[in-house]
Amino acid sequence: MDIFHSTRTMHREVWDLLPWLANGTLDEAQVRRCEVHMQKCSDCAREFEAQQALQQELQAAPAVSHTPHASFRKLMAQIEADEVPAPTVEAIAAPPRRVRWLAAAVIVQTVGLISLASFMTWKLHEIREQPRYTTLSSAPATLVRGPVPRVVFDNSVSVAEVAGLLHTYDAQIIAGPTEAGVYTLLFAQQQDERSLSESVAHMRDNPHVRFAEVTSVGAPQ
Amino acid sequence: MTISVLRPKEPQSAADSGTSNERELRLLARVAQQDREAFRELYFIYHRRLSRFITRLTTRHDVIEEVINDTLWTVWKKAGDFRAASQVSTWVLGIAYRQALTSLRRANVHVLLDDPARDHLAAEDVQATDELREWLDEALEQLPLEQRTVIELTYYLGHSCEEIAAIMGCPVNTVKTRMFYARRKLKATLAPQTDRE
Repeated sequence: MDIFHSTRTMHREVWDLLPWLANGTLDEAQVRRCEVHMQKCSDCAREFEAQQALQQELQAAPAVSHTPHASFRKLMAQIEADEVPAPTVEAIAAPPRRVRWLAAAVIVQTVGLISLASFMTWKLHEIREQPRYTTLSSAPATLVRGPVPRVVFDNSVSVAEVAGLLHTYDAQIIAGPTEAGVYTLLFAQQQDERSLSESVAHMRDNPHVRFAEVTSVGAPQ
Repeated sequence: MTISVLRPKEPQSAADSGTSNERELRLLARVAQQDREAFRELYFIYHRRLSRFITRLTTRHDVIEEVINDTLWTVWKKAGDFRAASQVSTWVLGIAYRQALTSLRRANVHVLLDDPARDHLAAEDVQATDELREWLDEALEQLPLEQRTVIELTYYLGHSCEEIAAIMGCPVNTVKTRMFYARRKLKATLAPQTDRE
């Protein structure tokens, strides 16, 4: 079982690395691991060839024809305009130094007070607009038929990390947690059983996921 | 079965001697001193790369030009703040990616369909009626923006997984997941084409 799990994990790891093996950006240790695995795994070897072909095809795609000169002139004009100091109005007579300092102090204080008032107004508006909490499982109760993924998240994972993970997989929680900490998920995109298994297998490799599987029974809500 | 594999480039630090990154670092140091000639050189190096990269995200010429110029304007302003913790290209592309997202939201651009500019480009490029190229372009256009970005940064711009994570401001695992789904969608979309060959 351990050997099987280890082989499956290695296969998934190499499969995920193949695009970067094709573009030559893996380190030496990763390259060696991939080469050793591909000697035994024809799926990965074939996929690597496909990745190399895709890389060549995308590299060969003609460059987009935009003219940089006009764009550069436009940008330089903006830079020059940004750097020109604001025109000054000729003063009749410069006020005494002490008065100038006092005037500057008053201006700074006024700007500070206005900024503080603006910030507090904005913050108050933001607090009113934001809900006090958001739920991860906001899907309406539905009867889900067919295979469903079930996961257990790591104890140390935060709510924000779970939200990020669900966003990455385009999934939402539709049930759970159970006493054992099991959540039932639903992917936004409908998937056949094979694709579902692949997605769950990929999720299993995420360090925030302790356990993930596809169950064959639907989860009535 | 004989498998040819690209070996990693050596050395792999941000300040590779004799590489384009070294040259860009020197240019950036001069840009930080407000050297306009160095900035011009850097601009032309990146205009081509950014044109290609941003065209994968949108084909609206006005948005593309805006993003390129906003990106390089930021480079002009912030050249002195760059600490060489990453490659220059990683830094610049990260700025470009964030600018692109902002510009696309502002321009309310959702889908790359029925754009006359795209048809014009397609007519120019597909002179040899390369069907696979057309299918590939169409398949890429169907991918969500984040997946398209990973594809472009990997295959065309040749960045590592870690560099792409830095550019897109996300964990390495997220980059791998996006690539996983992108590859699967491309396979599904391109399957009818490859079956015909």
